[in-house]
Amino acid sequence: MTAGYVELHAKSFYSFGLGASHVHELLAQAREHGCTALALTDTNLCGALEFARLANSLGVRPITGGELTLSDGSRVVLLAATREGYANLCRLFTLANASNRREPRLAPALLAHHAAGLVLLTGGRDGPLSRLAQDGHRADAQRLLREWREAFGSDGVYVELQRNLLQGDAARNRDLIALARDAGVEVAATNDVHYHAPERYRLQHVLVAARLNLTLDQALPYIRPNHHLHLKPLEAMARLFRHVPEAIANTLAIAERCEFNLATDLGYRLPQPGVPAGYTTQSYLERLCREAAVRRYGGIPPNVDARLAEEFRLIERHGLAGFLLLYREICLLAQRIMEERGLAQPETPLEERPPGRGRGSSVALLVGYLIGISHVDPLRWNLTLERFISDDMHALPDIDLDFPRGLRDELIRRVHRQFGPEFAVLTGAVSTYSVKGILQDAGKALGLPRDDLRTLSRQLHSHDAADLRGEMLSLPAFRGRVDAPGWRSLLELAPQLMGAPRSLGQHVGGMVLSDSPISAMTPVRAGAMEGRYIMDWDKDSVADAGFAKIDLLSLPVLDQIEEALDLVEAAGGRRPDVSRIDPEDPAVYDMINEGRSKGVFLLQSPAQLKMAQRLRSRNLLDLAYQVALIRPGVGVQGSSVSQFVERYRHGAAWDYDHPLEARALERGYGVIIWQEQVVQLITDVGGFTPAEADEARRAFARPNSGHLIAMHLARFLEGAARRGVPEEAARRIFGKVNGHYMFPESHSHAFAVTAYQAAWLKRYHPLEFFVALVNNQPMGFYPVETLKEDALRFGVPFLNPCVNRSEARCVPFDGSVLLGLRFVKDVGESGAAAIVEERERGGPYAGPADLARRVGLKPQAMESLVYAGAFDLLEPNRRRALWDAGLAPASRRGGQPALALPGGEGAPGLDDFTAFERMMGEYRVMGVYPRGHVMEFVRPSLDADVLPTSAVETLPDGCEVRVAGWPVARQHPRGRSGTVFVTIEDEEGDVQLILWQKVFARHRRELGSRVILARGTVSRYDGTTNVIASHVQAVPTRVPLPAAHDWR
Amino acid sequence: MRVACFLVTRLRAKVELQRSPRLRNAPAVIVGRERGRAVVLDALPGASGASAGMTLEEALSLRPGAAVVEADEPAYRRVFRQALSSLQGVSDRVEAGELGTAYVRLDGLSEMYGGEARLAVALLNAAPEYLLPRVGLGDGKFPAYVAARTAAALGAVRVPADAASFLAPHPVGLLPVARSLTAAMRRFGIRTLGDAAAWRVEPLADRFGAEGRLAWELARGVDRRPLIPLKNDEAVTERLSLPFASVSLELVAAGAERLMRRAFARPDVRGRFAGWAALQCTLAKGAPWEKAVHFKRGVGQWEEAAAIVRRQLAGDPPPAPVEEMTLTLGALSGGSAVQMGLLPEVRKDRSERLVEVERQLQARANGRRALYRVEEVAAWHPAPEMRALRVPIDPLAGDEMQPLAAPVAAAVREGSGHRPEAVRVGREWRSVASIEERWSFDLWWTPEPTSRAYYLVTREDGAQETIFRDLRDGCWYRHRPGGKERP
Repeated sequence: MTAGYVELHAKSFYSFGLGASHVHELLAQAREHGCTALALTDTNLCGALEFARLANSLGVRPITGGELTLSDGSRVVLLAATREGYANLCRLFTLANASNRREPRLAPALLAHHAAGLVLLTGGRDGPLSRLAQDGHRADAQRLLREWREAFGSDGVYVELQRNLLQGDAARNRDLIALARDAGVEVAATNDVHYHAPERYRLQHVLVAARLNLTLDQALPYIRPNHHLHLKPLEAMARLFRHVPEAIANTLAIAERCEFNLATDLGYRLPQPGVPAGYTTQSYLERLCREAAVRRYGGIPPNVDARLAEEFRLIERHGLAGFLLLYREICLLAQRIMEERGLAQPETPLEERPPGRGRGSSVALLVGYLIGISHVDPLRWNLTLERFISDDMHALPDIDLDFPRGLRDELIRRVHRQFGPEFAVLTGAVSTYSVKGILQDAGKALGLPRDDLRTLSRQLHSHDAADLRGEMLSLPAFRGRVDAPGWRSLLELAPQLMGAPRSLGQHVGGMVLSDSPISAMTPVRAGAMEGRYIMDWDKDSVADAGFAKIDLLSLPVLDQIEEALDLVEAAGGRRPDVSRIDPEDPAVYDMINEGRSKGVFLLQSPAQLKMAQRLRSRNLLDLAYQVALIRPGVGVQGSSVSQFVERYRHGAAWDYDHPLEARALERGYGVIIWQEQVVQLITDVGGFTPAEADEARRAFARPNSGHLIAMHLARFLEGAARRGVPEEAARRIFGKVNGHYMFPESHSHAFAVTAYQAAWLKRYHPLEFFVALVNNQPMGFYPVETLKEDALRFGVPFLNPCVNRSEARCVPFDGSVLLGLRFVKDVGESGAAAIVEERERGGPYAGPADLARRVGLKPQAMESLVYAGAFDLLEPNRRRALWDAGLAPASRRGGQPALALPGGEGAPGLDDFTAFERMMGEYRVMGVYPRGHVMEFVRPSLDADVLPTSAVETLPDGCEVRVAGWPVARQHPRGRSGTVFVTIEDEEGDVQLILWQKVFARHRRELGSRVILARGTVSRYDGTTNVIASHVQAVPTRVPLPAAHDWR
Repeated sequence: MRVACFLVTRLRAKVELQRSPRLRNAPAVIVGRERGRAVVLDALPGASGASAGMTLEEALSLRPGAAVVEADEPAYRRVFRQALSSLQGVSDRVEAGELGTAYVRLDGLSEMYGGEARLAVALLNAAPEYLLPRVGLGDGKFPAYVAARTAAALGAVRVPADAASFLAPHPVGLLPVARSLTAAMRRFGIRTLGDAAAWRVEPLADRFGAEGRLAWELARGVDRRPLIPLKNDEAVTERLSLPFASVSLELVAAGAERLMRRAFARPDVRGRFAGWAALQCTLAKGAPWEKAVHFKRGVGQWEEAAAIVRRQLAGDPPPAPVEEMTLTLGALSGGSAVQMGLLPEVRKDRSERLVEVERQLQARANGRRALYRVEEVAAWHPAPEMRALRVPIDPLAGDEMQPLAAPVAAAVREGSGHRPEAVRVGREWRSVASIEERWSFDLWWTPEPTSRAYYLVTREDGAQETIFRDLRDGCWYRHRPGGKERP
């Protein structure tokens, strides 16, 4: 046997609150120590696939394992030697999760039933053997060891020895060695690794305390108070175990036995749904498509026939028929729910009114359109196939299904019920540490005052933990604390913790379906909501594993589009078929290109509004580029967005750093726009396999990954050199890669279709568009007040709610948006429903007192209704209405109505609220002032030279200007050297302020004000108009405006 | 009822300025916590713009450079209590209002002091001059309060006969009613006391109930509310320094128990009953921490009081290591509603006998203490001296609790990598034959970080001993015998 050591007991951040290193840090350290293999033994399998894939890409053999906690709190380590062993490991975790999803515990007797293919390490200082030996129950310890030997085999059990220089190690190891010898069981050394390098020990201590919700002082009994639980090289481990060298040697033997490689041996098969007798999945799919084509097109015209033939060929080649039919089955379930709710007719074919919408590759499939998993006719929209599915495709096509919000929860329940919890499981979602999370957890553990942590958290601007010190120095209340004990430690530890996995939760709607039990492929646990089951893997691992995943997402825009279409239909018109509208309608593109697409999905941010003015899209391809360009991953590439516009729109030429770049960058006109281009670039220039290239791409997005990126760079340079790329050019090419978010190409095309449909509705049915938009808040970018201003420009005014006219939701009323009662503060869904129900039952209300008596709302809700103007038709004097509302005896909701007693003595003459008071009240209880704008009241206090925003458009470039308004959006795009974009709105429109970094630093605080006054110069560039601000000041106002949206 | 209102406006700011005169022109705000939020309780003169009631964020956006002074409420209360005590020297009928406000019933006093003007001067003199008190005189607490607010610093104002006219221009916010009521009144256009007085009482009573009626009456200068004099609350205080800062509940509870024993053993407390106890701790992180316990009935025995406090501490332990503890027993009285047991308690009897034995032994040993109890306080602690304490049997003993197994310097010869090679025992050096075990710990987060490397060695003479090297000062130590083994 060759000399060496393999660490078989190592935890990462995925052992939430125990491990203090990323998976990639452990692997990079292992590689540096010259380790050939490494086991990851977290307390779950959340990081197992990520670990296996990354290990393979770094040339370290991954061993998949886990640390299981037994019922008595002791722990053992299990390593998967074979595929069967891995399945058993997953089942054991699942069984432990079933005992308690937050604190999983496994009944020890279950170990023996699932021992095949597993290697058991007895668990060192926390193992049951150590506990029994320490408590003097040596005979019990021997019996337990014998039982394990029987279950796991003589080469399947190792007594684990640990030496971390903690008190009691020597005595315990002596006892364990004696026990092992008596039972004829081998020993194995591990270092119970909790972090990759010794300097992480402080962070590990903090995480332990945070997990227990204690301060470090209080958590001391649970902390291993030194720095010796890190990944150690062979020499160090050999020194520690020089008296038992076989404990080191045995680690190699175990590693050799553990042949299972999760990245390649998972063994998942796509599910095959049942089909009628006499059909294969392929033939059944073809039949369904042809039948639907006849319904859709009135026959099968040649172009449809040709397209179907090509798609059937590709589907058969890649074995996708079952996969597509499975999606159809989900849509049928959704349709059934809609039928039960009276939202769909049973006789309506699925493809005519699909309940869900495909995103990604499905939009280009005519098959998808015909089986009802897509809402786009690809022939009508000229979507070619090769961008989505091709002969040399290696992975599953990327198809997500989005469903309206209202359907999702019930649909998830039905899918669980139909497929069974063993075969349909929700994807996990691993949340990661943000600066605020770090302040909350680490700050508490370090004993820092909670209120101070909250105050600091609220005042932070940067989302990067590395900036925390600078942020504190800029805040007077915290300036003096940066070097104070506790705070200093927080500043030191925060960057280490930034982006680290924090906890496992549930993905919003990702669901995995399988033919075989999923608990044999990844552990499963009950979700927080009853009837839901979630797996240990997040969406990335699920995608890497090639699982058939269905995203039961609730994309609010779908609800908005559906509702708008319903309203058009209800108004007496024909329900527009948005799957077949003209995709190149100039009027729609004119609206977008004039920057009038506020409220339109993906086309509404200030950056998009400006981009539209520059790119001047005229078709869906343009629009796909447009939505993809405003993504962080594109923005960080310096001036790449401007370069793209120059090349795409104005035909500017560009050069490659090397001809090998051409295949990857051609589609983006020399610019990386989609994430597939990154993979292609690394593959073509660096000679990586696509899977390795994808790992390299992800390395950029991982926190603290400098080490890892350096390793990938070295490989890239080697590969590029072999392909004849000079090092300097190769370095430049590698420098184009970043880890920020970009769209996959298919998504940008699918989203472009949805965005276009929303824009079409805004252009041709603005009333219904705005009603549905407000009803589906929160969504999008702007507060309702801003949407109201925009609606006015489309001839759609907003009306205050009315207790005798309004519904709970907004409705069209006489060409206006009549605000719904549920939008009034303190009234809520149930209060609004009660008002409407009582009105339908007992007729219109006579006044505030009548409503209070009949409905029994809380006094605050009654007052809010008055402030919202909901009684204006009954009592125009709101102060009088307020008086009456408080005077009437209120009924208990659902109880007997209060008696209509005569009111008290009338109040003396009450003057109505002033216009200003009305505005204040309406902003306070609705966040919107239908009759006007706050700036109408602020304007008289401003100097005469403060211009309205509309005037800026008329001024020449470079002209000095002063403008004032309410900041409705602040953007801090990456890669713009700290430049901040602030959109301010006034009674006449809006304008974007650009603040260079220094100006922003000077005026950060003022930008937080409700109304600001800015001085600057007009900038006109490529069809856009902005103000480059040089000075900003707060304009005092007591108006409770909604806070501006902050986007980074 | 003739009443004087004694008013110290912005008491917090005045106390802070008295403590730190350098703040006089500095922009600074005094910040406290309200429902988990940092709010400005007062602003010093240099921080114009910021005012009480603002959140810290609001204040700092208006005064970006302002320094933040953490409110020291116990200190402010102490200053106010002293002022109240002085006022009680003027009249025995003093009612404490909000911080800085007190009411004194004047009926029958004017003659004694030679008129209200002199009485007002006596009241103004009850507080130190830096507090700049002011006095208002009127028929009832509210008119007197409004008068005090209109008075200049160190001045007095008397409410004229037409109290309603005097009050009329003042805002309704001064009324001693719920803030929600004054807010509601403003919504209906009632902004001043004059506005309120102009209404008929019925609508206000209909709309706002009894409080609406009260507001109306007060606005018209009619205040029928009685003056509730302060009661004298007799209290005793005991202090204790812990041997080391710790969060161990056992240690804090042991400290509290010892303080209870001492307090109940005092001659002025023995045989009496306490209505409440307050435990104030000085924490290692600087801020004070307090736990007050109001007993359901008078408690006359230290064991019972200590058990109650211990239960409270278990539910809400100090957030940081405790360094010092102060116990105050208050509302001392001569009786309780509970009948005393007829039979002596065996355990208590034994404990008292032990104290007696200790005192006799001490007398024979020329005052040297002989009997101690061992109190285990943190058996899990990696540092042996933190695990258990030696506590004198006699609760009145002057010396405090001492750690067992305290480290003492050891002479050790080091080899490479600081490995011990020889240990001095008495005057002799003994070689280290073998190192049986070594371990280390690093309590890096504590106020005085502790980092040690321990060695269990076998000496050449066959004896085993544990020594450690302090990794901060590089010196060697061994523990005094008697320490507890870590479980």
